[in-house]
Amino acid sequence: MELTKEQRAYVPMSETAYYILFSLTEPRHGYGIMQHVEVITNGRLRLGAGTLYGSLSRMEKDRLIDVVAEEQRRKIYQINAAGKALLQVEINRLQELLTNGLTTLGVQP
Amino acid sequence: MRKEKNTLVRWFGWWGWYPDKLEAWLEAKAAEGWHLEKADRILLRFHFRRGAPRIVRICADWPANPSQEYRTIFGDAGWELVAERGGWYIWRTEYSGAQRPEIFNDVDGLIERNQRFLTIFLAALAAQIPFWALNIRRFSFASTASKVFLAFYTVLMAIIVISLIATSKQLVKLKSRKR
Repeated sequence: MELTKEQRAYVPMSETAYYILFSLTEPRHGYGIMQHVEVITNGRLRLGAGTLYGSLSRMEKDRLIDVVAEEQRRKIYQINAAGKALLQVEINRLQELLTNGLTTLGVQP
Repeated sequence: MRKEKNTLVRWFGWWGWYPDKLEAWLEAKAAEGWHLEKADRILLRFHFRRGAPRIVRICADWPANPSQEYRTIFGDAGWELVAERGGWYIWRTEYSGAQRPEIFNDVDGLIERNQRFLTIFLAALAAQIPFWALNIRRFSFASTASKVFLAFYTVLMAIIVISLIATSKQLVKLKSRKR
């Protein structure tokens, strides 16, 4: 899938953007994303409300995520095809970093 | 017996590109038992009510295009909106322990906010070019009215230039924190 210039600008991706996109492989509202990220990072990463709102607005504008529903005045977001393609680009980049790092250290990837 | 006052009104000057001083002042007031009830006069005058001392985190935010979703996300995350004026939102949350709550978990949001300030100040300066181009020839510095106008204009320009420099410096600091 062809990514736009705005979408490609996310790579290399911030940890915040990575985990937000990753969380949206399932439909979630803003607070649901915060809770999910905190759980999967064992409490290490706690998304700030300002960071999350800004990121979601930007990702929606850059057409990486869609609003799929609205429940009790909460938007429910989900990653779309462009978002998944971008996430794959970032995962490939991270994989390359990891493989090269481990190879250099003589550790089997 | 003398009755103690339960309300307090104080003025506090602060700059948008560095709200940390305002936040620290409001947090110190809460620790003394003075809790912010509202703010007015372009968020320079603050009204407090006396209560039990509390450890709170106060954050001033200036979001781009805030919608209902903005308030919902903050509310769900445990933040209480205390004041709102001119695009600024003052949020409060109570906490315990060493981890101080933050509305931004990285500096990207702060960089983005200060870049918006910078754009506004640059636009304000750029807007002076057509103003002077149109008026410089017919402007008379002799009359009292002109001198008064010039004095106000000079102060206004000085504020814009100082704001521009301070915002740029703050941006450099934030970007170095990111690195």
